[in-house]
Amino acid sequence: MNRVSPLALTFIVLGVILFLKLFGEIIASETHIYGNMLLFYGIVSVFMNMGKQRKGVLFLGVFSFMLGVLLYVMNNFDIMSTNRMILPALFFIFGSGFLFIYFDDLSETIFLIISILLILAGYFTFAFYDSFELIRFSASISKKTLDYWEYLFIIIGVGIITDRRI
Amino acid sequence: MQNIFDEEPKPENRSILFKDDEPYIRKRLKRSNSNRIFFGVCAGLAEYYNINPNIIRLIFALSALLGGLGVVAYTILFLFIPANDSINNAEVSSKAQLLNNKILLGITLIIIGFYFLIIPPNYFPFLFWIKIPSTLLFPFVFLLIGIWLQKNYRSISLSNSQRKFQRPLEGRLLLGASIGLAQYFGAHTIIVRFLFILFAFTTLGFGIILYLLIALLSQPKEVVIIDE
Repeated sequence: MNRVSPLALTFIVLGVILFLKLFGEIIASETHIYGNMLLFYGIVSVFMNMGKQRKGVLFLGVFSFMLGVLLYVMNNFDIMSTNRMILPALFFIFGSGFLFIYFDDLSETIFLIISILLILAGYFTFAFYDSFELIRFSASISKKTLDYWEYLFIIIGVGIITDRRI
Repeated sequence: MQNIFDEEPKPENRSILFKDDEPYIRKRLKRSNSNRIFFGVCAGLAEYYNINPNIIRLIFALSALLGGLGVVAYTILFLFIPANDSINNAEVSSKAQLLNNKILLGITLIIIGFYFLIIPPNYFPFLFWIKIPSTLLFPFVFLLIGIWLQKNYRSISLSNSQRKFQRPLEGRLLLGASIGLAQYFGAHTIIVRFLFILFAFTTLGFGIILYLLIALLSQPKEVVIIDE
Protein backbone atom coordinates (compact mmCIF):
# COMPACT_ATOMS: atom_id res chain seq x y z
CA MET A 1 0.00 0.00 0.00
CA ASN A 2 1.24 3.46 -0.86
CA ARG A 3 2.18 5.62 2.07
CA VAL A 4 0.96 8.90 0.61
CA SER A 5 -2.62 9.39 -0.45
CA PRO A 6 -2.78 11.30 -3.78
CA LEU A 7 -6.06 12.87 -2.74
CA ALA A 8 -4.65 14.00 0.62
CA LEU A 9 -1.57 15.39 -1.11
CA THR A 10 -3.75 17.28 -3.61
CA PHE A 11 -5.85 18.83 -0.85
CA ILE A 12 -2.77 19.88 1.15
CA VAL A 13 -1.06 21.42 -1.90
CA LEU A 14 -4.34 23.16 -2.84
CA GLY A 15 -4.70 24.56 0.68
CA VAL A 16 -1.11 25.86 0.68
CA ILE A 17 -1.51 27.43 -2.80
CA LEU A 18 -4.76 29.15 -1.78
CA PHE A 19 -3.05 30.48 1.37
CA LEU A 20 -0.16 31.81 -0.76
CA LYS A 21 -2.67 33.39 -3.15
CA LEU A 22 -4.42 35.01 -0.19
CA PHE A 23 -1.18 36.59 0.98
CA GLY A 24 -0.34 37.76 -2.54
CA GLU A 25 2.57 35.37 -3.16
CA ILE A 26 0.84 33.68 -6.10
CA ILE A 27 -1.12 35.54 -8.74
CA ALA A 28 -3.48 33.20 -10.54
CA SER A 29 -7.20 32.84 -11.00
CA GLU A 30 -9.00 30.26 -8.85
CA THR A 31 -10.20 28.41 -11.96
CA HIS A 32 -6.59 28.10 -13.07
CA ILE A 33 -5.53 26.72 -9.65
CA TYR A 34 -8.42 24.24 -9.40
CA GLY A 35 -7.85 23.11 -13.00
CA ASN A 36 -4.16 22.44 -12.36
CA MET A 37 -4.96 20.60 -9.14
CA LEU A 38 -7.42 18.36 -11.00
CA LEU A 39 -4.71 17.62 -13.58
CA PHE A 40 -2.20 16.92 -10.79
CA TYR A 41 -4.55 14.56 -8.93
CA GLY A 42 -5.53 12.82 -12.16
CA ILE A 43 -1.96 12.09 -13.25
CA VAL A 44 -0.76 10.99 -9.79
CA SER A 45 -3.85 8.89 -9.17
CA VAL A 46 -3.70 7.07 -12.53
CA PHE A 47 0.05 6.49 -12.13
CA MET A 48 -0.34 5.07 -8.62
CA ASN A 49 -3.45 2.95 -9.18
CA MET A 50 -2.91 1.47 -12.64
CA GLY A 51 -2.81 -2.32 -12.50
CA LYS A 52 -3.64 -2.51 -8.80
CA GLN A 53 -7.30 -3.50 -9.00
CA ARG A 54 -8.50 -0.13 -7.74
CA LYS A 55 -10.96 0.55 -10.51
CA GLY A 56 -12.98 3.21 -8.71
CA VAL A 57 -9.96 5.34 -7.85
CA LEU A 58 -8.56 4.86 -11.35
CA PHE A 59 -11.82 6.00 -12.92
CA LEU A 60 -11.91 9.00 -10.56
CA GLY A 61 -8.33 9.84 -11.55
CA VAL A 62 -9.09 9.81 -15.28
CA PHE A 63 -12.33 11.73 -14.65
CA SER A 64 -10.42 14.35 -12.68
CA PHE A 65 -7.68 14.65 -15.33
CA MET A 66 -10.18 15.13 -18.16
CA LEU A 67 -12.10 17.68 -16.09
CA GLY A 68 -8.81 19.50 -15.53
CA VAL A 69 -8.15 19.50 -19.28
CA LEU A 70 -11.64 20.91 -19.87
CA LEU A 71 -11.06 23.69 -17.32
CA TYR A 72 -7.67 24.42 -18.87
CA VAL A 73 -9.16 24.70 -22.35
CA MET A 74 -12.04 26.88 -21.16
CA ASN A 75 -9.64 29.08 -19.20
CA ASN A 76 -7.00 29.54 -21.88
CA PHE A 77 -8.99 29.65 -25.10
CA ASP A 78 -11.83 31.87 -26.17
CA ILE A 79 -14.74 29.48 -26.37
CA MET A 80 -17.54 30.91 -28.47
CA SER A 81 -20.25 28.68 -27.04
CA THR A 82 -19.93 26.73 -23.79
CA ASN A 83 -23.14 24.88 -24.64
CA ARG A 84 -21.34 23.29 -27.56
CA MET A 85 -18.57 22.00 -25.29
CA ILE A 86 -20.58 20.46 -22.47
CA LEU A 87 -22.24 17.46 -24.10
CA PRO A 88 -19.16 16.22 -26.05
CA ALA A 89 -17.05 16.82 -22.93
CA LEU A 90 -19.40 14.61 -20.87
CA PHE A 91 -19.10 11.82 -23.44
CA PHE A 92 -15.32 12.15 -23.76
CA ILE A 93 -14.77 12.24 -19.98
CA PHE A 94 -16.82 9.11 -19.27
CA GLY A 95 -15.47 7.40 -22.41
CA SER A 96 -11.86 8.01 -21.35
CA GLY A 97 -12.64 6.70 -17.85
CA PHE A 98 -13.99 3.42 -19.23
CA LEU A 99 -11.07 3.18 -21.70
CA PHE A 100 -8.58 3.28 -18.83
CA ILE A 101 -10.60 0.67 -16.96
CA TYR A 102 -10.17 -1.52 -20.03
CA PHE A 103 -6.41 -0.79 -20.14
CA ASP A 104 -6.25 -1.82 -16.49
CA ASP A 105 -7.82 -5.20 -17.23
CA LEU A 106 -7.66 -6.17 -20.91
CA SER A 107 -10.01 -9.12 -20.42
CA GLU A 108 -12.97 -6.79 -19.80
CA THR A 109 -13.79 -5.98 -23.43
CA ILE A 110 -17.18 -4.63 -22.40
CA PHE A 111 -15.49 -1.45 -21.20
CA LEU A 112 -13.66 -1.05 -24.53
CA ILE A 113 -16.98 -1.24 -26.38
CA ILE A 114 -18.58 1.27 -24.00
CA SER A 115 -15.66 3.67 -24.26
CA ILE A 116 -15.58 3.54 -28.08
CA LEU A 117 -19.33 4.17 -28.15
CA LEU A 118 -19.05 7.12 -25.76
CA ILE A 119 -16.08 8.69 -27.57
CA LEU A 120 -17.87 8.31 -30.92
CA ALA A 121 -20.97 9.89 -29.40
CA GLY A 122 -18.78 12.74 -28.17
CA TYR A 123 -17.29 13.25 -31.62
CA PHE A 124 -20.72 13.05 -33.25
CA THR A 125 -22.32 15.61 -30.92
CA PHE A 126 -19.37 17.98 -31.42
CA ALA A 127 -19.14 17.64 -35.21
CA PHE A 128 -22.87 17.75 -35.93
CA TYR A 129 -23.87 20.28 -33.29
CA ASP A 130 -25.15 22.76 -35.87
CA SER A 131 -26.85 20.14 -38.03
CA PHE A 132 -29.25 18.63 -35.52
CA GLU A 133 -31.72 20.55 -33.38
CA LEU A 134 -31.93 17.53 -31.02
CA ILE A 135 -28.22 17.81 -30.11
CA ARG A 136 -28.57 21.53 -29.35
CA PHE A 137 -31.65 20.83 -27.22
CA SER A 138 -29.82 18.06 -25.37
CA ALA A 139 -26.81 20.33 -24.80
CA SER A 140 -29.02 23.04 -23.33
CA ILE A 141 -30.56 20.48 -20.95
CA SER A 142 -27.05 19.38 -19.89
CA LYS A 143 -26.08 23.00 -19.26
CA LYS A 144 -29.20 23.65 -17.18
CA THR A 145 -28.68 20.43 -15.19
CA LEU A 146 -25.07 21.29 -14.41
CA ASP A 147 -26.16 24.79 -13.33
CA TYR A 148 -28.03 23.15 -10.45
CA TRP A 149 -25.19 20.92 -9.29
CA GLU A 150 -25.74 21.95 -5.64
CA TYR A 151 -29.11 20.15 -5.62
CA LEU A 152 -27.46 17.09 -7.13
CA PHE A 153 -24.88 17.04 -4.34
CA ILE A 154 -27.59 17.30 -1.66
CA ILE A 155 -29.71 14.56 -3.28
CA ILE A 156 -26.73 12.19 -3.62
CA GLY A 157 -25.64 12.99 -0.03
CA VAL A 158 -29.09 12.22 1.38
CA GLY A 159 -29.24 9.10 -0.78
CA ILE A 160 -25.90 7.85 0.55
CA ILE A 161 -26.86 8.47 4.19
CA THR A 162 -30.22 6.76 3.90
CA ASP A 163 -28.96 3.87 1.75
CA ARG A 164 -29.01 0.61 3.69
CA ARG A 165 -26.08 -1.03 1.95
CA ILE A 166 -22.46 -0.47 3.00
CA MET B 1 -28.51 -5.24 6.33
CA GLN B 2 -28.76 -2.77 9.15
CA ASN B 3 -30.40 0.56 8.56
CA ILE B 4 -28.13 3.32 9.80
CA PHE B 5 -31.08 5.19 11.30
CA ASP B 6 -31.87 2.11 13.41
CA GLU B 7 -28.47 2.12 15.08
CA GLU B 8 -28.60 1.22 18.73
CA PRO B 9 -26.35 3.31 20.93
CA LYS B 10 -23.56 1.23 22.37
CA PRO B 11 -23.52 0.74 26.13
CA GLU B 12 -19.81 1.42 26.49
CA ASN B 13 -20.21 4.68 28.43
CA ARG B 14 -22.10 3.13 31.33
CA SER B 15 -21.07 2.09 34.78
CA ILE B 16 -23.13 0.05 37.23
CA LEU B 17 -23.72 1.70 40.60
CA PHE B 18 -25.81 0.74 43.62
CA LYS B 19 -28.50 2.96 45.14
CA ASP B 20 -30.46 1.60 48.13
CA ASP B 21 -28.90 -1.78 47.35
CA GLU B 22 -30.53 -1.70 43.91
CA PRO B 23 -28.20 -1.70 40.92
CA TYR B 24 -28.72 1.06 38.42
CA ILE B 25 -26.74 2.14 35.39
CA ARG B 26 -25.17 5.57 35.48
CA LYS B 27 -24.24 6.90 32.07
CA ARG B 28 -21.24 9.13 31.64
CA LEU B 29 -20.73 11.55 28.81
CA LYS B 30 -17.64 10.41 26.97
CA ARG B 31 -16.36 10.63 23.43
CA SER B 32 -17.06 7.43 21.54
CA ASN B 33 -14.14 5.36 20.41
CA SER B 34 -16.02 2.65 18.58
CA ASN B 35 -18.37 4.71 16.43
CA ARG B 36 -16.39 7.84 15.73
CA ILE B 37 -15.80 9.64 12.45
CA PHE B 38 -13.56 12.48 13.65
CA PHE B 39 -13.15 12.65 17.44
CA GLY B 40 -16.28 10.76 18.54
CA VAL B 41 -18.10 13.80 20.00
CA CYS B 42 -21.38 13.24 18.11
CA ALA B 43 -21.42 9.49 18.76
CA GLY B 44 -20.60 10.12 22.44
CA LEU B 45 -23.51 12.56 22.76
CA ALA B 46 -25.81 10.11 20.96
CA GLU B 47 -24.84 7.29 23.31
CA TYR B 48 -25.41 9.52 26.32
CA TYR B 49 -28.82 10.78 25.21
CA ASN B 50 -29.77 7.45 23.63
CA ILE B 51 -30.49 8.83 20.16
CA ASN B 52 -29.24 8.18 16.67
CA PRO B 53 -25.69 9.55 16.14
CA ASN B 54 -26.40 10.46 12.50
CA ILE B 55 -29.01 13.02 13.58
CA ILE B 56 -26.47 14.78 15.81
CA ARG B 57 -23.83 14.56 13.06
CA LEU B 58 -26.17 16.18 10.54
CA ILE B 59 -27.15 18.94 13.02
CA PHE B 60 -23.49 19.70 13.71
CA ALA B 61 -22.63 19.64 10.02
CA LEU B 62 -25.43 21.99 9.02
CA SER B 63 -24.79 24.32 11.97
CA ALA B 64 -21.18 24.57 10.77
CA LEU B 65 -22.60 26.61 7.90
CA LEU B 66 -24.02 29.18 10.33
CA GLY B 67 -20.83 31.17 10.47
CA GLY B 68 -18.86 28.22 11.81
CA LEU B 69 -20.94 27.79 14.99
CA GLY B 70 -20.98 24.00 14.66
CA VAL B 71 -17.19 23.84 14.28
CA VAL B 72 -16.67 25.98 17.40
CA ALA B 73 -19.19 23.94 19.41
CA TYR B 74 -17.59 20.69 18.27
CA THR B 75 -14.10 21.92 19.20
CA ILE B 76 -15.26 23.03 22.68
CA LEU B 77 -17.01 19.70 23.30
CA PHE B 78 -13.94 17.84 22.07
CA LEU B 79 -11.80 19.72 24.58
CA PHE B 80 -14.13 19.22 27.56
CA ILE B 81 -15.58 15.73 27.04
CA PRO B 82 -13.13 13.02 28.05
CA ALA B 83 -12.27 10.17 25.69
CA ASN B 84 -13.54 6.68 26.31
CA ASP B 85 -10.53 4.45 26.88
CA SER B 86 -12.49 1.25 27.42
CA ILE B 87 -12.51 0.32 23.73
CA ASN B 88 -9.36 0.20 21.67
CA ASN B 89 -9.27 1.72 18.19
CA ALA B 90 -8.13 -1.61 16.83
CA GLU B 91 -11.43 -3.16 17.88
CA VAL B 92 -13.40 -1.01 15.47
CA SER B 93 -14.47 -3.35 12.70
CA SER B 94 -13.83 -2.65 9.04
CA LYS B 95 -17.59 -2.78 8.47
CA ALA B 96 -18.18 -0.01 11.01
CA GLN B 97 -15.35 1.97 9.40
CA LEU B 98 -16.92 1.61 5.95
CA LEU B 99 -20.28 2.70 7.36
CA ASN B 100 -18.73 5.77 8.98
CA ASN B 101 -16.87 6.63 5.75
CA LYS B 102 -20.16 6.37 3.90
CA ILE B 103 -21.93 8.68 6.34
CA LEU B 104 -19.03 11.13 6.16
CA LEU B 105 -19.19 11.19 2.35
CA GLY B 106 -22.94 11.80 2.44
CA ILE B 107 -22.67 14.59 5.02
CA THR B 108 -19.80 16.22 3.09
CA LEU B 109 -21.84 16.30 -0.12
CA ILE B 110 -24.84 17.79 1.72
CA ILE B 111 -22.66 20.50 3.31
CA ILE B 112 -21.04 21.42 -0.03
CA GLY B 113 -24.45 21.53 -1.71
CA PHE B 114 -26.00 23.68 1.01
CA TYR B 115 -22.99 25.96 1.26
CA PHE B 116 -23.02 26.92 -2.40
CA LEU B 117 -26.80 26.91 -2.63
CA ILE B 118 -27.90 29.02 0.32
CA ILE B 119 -24.90 31.17 1.16
CA PRO B 120 -24.04 33.92 -1.32
CA PRO B 121 -20.33 34.86 -1.43
CA ASN B 122 -19.22 36.97 1.56
CA TYR B 123 -22.80 37.24 2.81
CA PHE B 124 -22.29 34.97 5.78
CA PRO B 125 -18.55 34.92 6.41
CA PHE B 126 -17.00 32.10 8.37
CA LEU B 127 -16.53 32.91 12.07
CA PHE B 128 -17.85 36.43 11.40
CA TRP B 129 -18.06 37.45 15.07
CA ILE B 130 -14.29 37.29 15.51
CA LYS B 131 -13.67 38.94 12.13
CA ILE B 132 -12.06 35.98 10.40
CA PRO B 133 -12.63 36.60 6.68
CA SER B 134 -14.47 33.97 4.68
CA THR B 135 -11.59 33.84 2.19
CA LEU B 136 -9.59 31.95 4.82
CA LEU B 137 -12.22 29.21 4.98
CA PHE B 138 -11.36 27.29 1.83
CA PRO B 139 -7.55 27.02 2.25
CA PHE B 140 -8.05 26.10 5.91
CA VAL B 141 -10.71 23.47 5.15
CA PHE B 142 -8.65 22.00 2.28
CA LEU B 143 -5.60 21.68 4.53
CA LEU B 144 -7.67 20.00 7.26
CA ILE B 145 -9.25 17.60 4.76
CA GLY B 146 -5.83 16.74 3.34
CA ILE B 147 -4.33 16.05 6.76
CA TRP B 148 -7.37 14.01 7.83
CA LEU B 149 -7.31 11.98 4.59
CA GLN B 150 -3.62 11.22 5.01
CA LYS B 151 -4.10 10.26 8.66
CA ASN B 152 -6.99 7.93 7.84
CA TYR B 153 -5.58 6.67 4.53
CA ARG B 154 -5.58 3.02 5.52
CA SER B 155 -9.16 2.95 6.79
CA ILE B 156 -10.48 4.92 3.81
CA SER B 157 -8.67 2.62 1.38
CA LEU B 158 -10.86 -0.27 2.50
CA SER B 159 -12.49 -1.17 -0.76
CA ASN B 160 -14.75 -4.05 -1.62
CA SER B 161 -14.25 -3.93 -5.38
CA GLN B 162 -14.39 -7.26 -7.14
CA ARG B 163 -12.03 -8.51 -9.80
CA LYS B 164 -14.53 -9.59 -12.45
CA PHE B 165 -17.35 -7.43 -13.76
CA GLN B 166 -20.61 -9.28 -13.23
CA ARG B 167 -24.24 -8.32 -12.93
CA PRO B 168 -25.68 -9.54 -9.63
CA LEU B 169 -29.27 -10.71 -9.76
CA GLU B 170 -29.77 -10.22 -6.05
CA GLY B 171 -30.87 -6.78 -4.82
CA ARG B 172 -31.28 -5.34 -8.32
CA LEU B 173 -33.95 -2.82 -9.32
CA LEU B 174 -33.93 -3.42 -13.09
CA LEU B 175 -31.20 -5.52 -14.71
CA GLY B 176 -28.54 -5.12 -12.03
CA ALA B 177 -26.03 -3.21 -14.18
CA SER B 178 -25.69 -0.39 -11.62
CA ILE B 179 -24.98 -2.78 -8.74
CA GLY B 180 -22.51 -4.67 -10.93
CA LEU B 181 -20.63 -1.48 -11.81
CA ALA B 182 -20.74 -0.28 -8.18
CA GLN B 183 -19.27 -3.56 -6.94
CA TYR B 184 -16.64 -3.55 -9.67
CA PHE B 185 -15.57 0.02 -8.88
CA GLY B 186 -15.93 -0.39 -5.11
CA ALA B 187 -18.39 2.53 -5.11
CA HIS B 188 -21.81 3.12 -3.60
CA THR B 189 -24.69 1.76 -5.68
CA ILE B 190 -26.75 4.90 -5.10
CA ILE B 191 -24.04 7.05 -6.78
CA VAL B 192 -23.86 4.79 -9.85
CA ARG B 193 -27.66 4.68 -10.14
CA PHE B 194 -27.92 8.43 -9.81
CA LEU B 195 -25.18 8.99 -12.40
CA PHE B 196 -27.01 6.70 -14.84
CA ILE B 197 -30.26 8.63 -14.36
CA LEU B 198 -28.46 11.95 -14.71
CA PHE B 199 -26.56 10.78 -17.78
CA ALA B 200 -29.75 9.46 -19.38
CA PHE B 201 -31.50 12.74 -18.63
CA THR B 202 -28.77 15.05 -19.94
CA THR B 203 -28.04 13.03 -23.08
CA LEU B 204 -31.67 12.52 -24.08
CA GLY B 205 -31.75 8.79 -23.42
CA PHE B 206 -28.21 7.77 -24.34
CA GLY B 207 -27.71 6.64 -20.75
CA ILE B 208 -30.57 4.16 -21.13
CA ILE B 209 -28.95 2.68 -24.25
CA LEU B 210 -25.67 2.45 -22.33
CA TYR B 211 -27.39 0.73 -19.40
CA LEU B 212 -29.06 -1.83 -21.66
CA LEU B 213 -25.79 -2.44 -23.50
CA ILE B 214 -23.92 -3.06 -20.25
CA ALA B 215 -26.69 -5.39 -19.08
CA LEU B 216 -26.64 -7.30 -22.39
CA LEU B 217 -22.87 -7.66 -22.63
CA SER B 218 -22.19 -8.60 -19.01
CA GLN B 219 -22.40 -11.96 -17.33
CA PRO B 220 -25.05 -12.41 -14.64
CA LYS B 221 -23.63 -13.26 -11.24
CA GLU B 222 -24.86 -16.62 -10.04
CA VAL B 223 -26.51 -16.80 -6.65
CA VAL B 224 -24.84 -19.40 -4.46
CA ILE B 225 -27.30 -21.39 -2.35
CA ILE B 226 -25.77 -23.09 0.66
CA ASP B 227 -27.59 -26.14 1.99
CA GLU B 228 -27.48 -26.51 5.72
